[in-house]
Amino acid sequence: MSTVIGREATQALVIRAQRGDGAAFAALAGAFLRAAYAIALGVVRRPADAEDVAQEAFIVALERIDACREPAAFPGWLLTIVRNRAKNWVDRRRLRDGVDEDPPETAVAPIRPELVGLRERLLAALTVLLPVQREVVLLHDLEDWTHAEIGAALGMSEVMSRQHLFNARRVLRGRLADDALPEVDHERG
Amino acid sequence: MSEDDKIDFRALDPSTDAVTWSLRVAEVAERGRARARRRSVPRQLRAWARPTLVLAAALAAAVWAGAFLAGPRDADATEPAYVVAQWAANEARPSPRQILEVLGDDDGVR
Repeated sequence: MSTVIGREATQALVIRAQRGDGAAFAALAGAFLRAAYAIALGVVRRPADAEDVAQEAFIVALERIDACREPAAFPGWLLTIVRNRAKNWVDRRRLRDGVDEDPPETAVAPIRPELVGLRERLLAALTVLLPVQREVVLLHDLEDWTHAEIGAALGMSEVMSRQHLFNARRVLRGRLADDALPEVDHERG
Repeated sequence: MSEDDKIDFRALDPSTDAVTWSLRVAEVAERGRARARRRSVPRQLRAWARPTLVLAAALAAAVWAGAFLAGPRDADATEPAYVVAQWAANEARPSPRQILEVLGDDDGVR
């Protein structure tokens, strides 16, 4: 968000969209669809599904743009919609598949790094994080949001955002480092 | 690698395929706008309903107030109802010709 659009610009775009300005809809989608994807990915943990969930949730948000009472708080309002729809999607998947766990597109363990790509390793590593840690690290490291923006959107302090990011990175690095070890090392260990 | 370094999530970034991503963004914006437009029609009607009712009530009140302030209209001494009422009050016995003159004949001609 910080690299694309600020709080005041967001507010102005939302007000324009509420008046039916088509260019404002496009600008909002361009600025926040990736963030919506990051939140959806943190919940559904499958990139393709996360794209679909984010897209549908974003369309719903734009449809109900009049209901956004605080235009400057649009990011948090949007991400709440995305999160709720992603959770509903997971619930429906559980009912459909009859499983309690939500495996990513590739099984979490055992992971043989030489057989899986970085994408799968990242997805597997993300599963060990708390949901809020996933959201913070994805918004910060994937989407380049600042801690102030993350705090405002997720309803937490900047300090708490930093704490979640620190913990998430530490866990992820540990997980990714373990995965990167050659299999022979595991056997020797 | 320090803890301050970002995790490289580019492998999970859907916008790395810029063309596909821009198409998706455009689709989201267009579908969202179309739905918002459809949703706005009944909302607009609901929004107009209250001011319309208020305007109608104000007009009715103005008409009523005007009629009230103007007071009762004096009856025309030639109106049939007034003439008949006068006959009744005075116990008059109008001739058939007078009755026809006041009430008119079958064709309503007075």
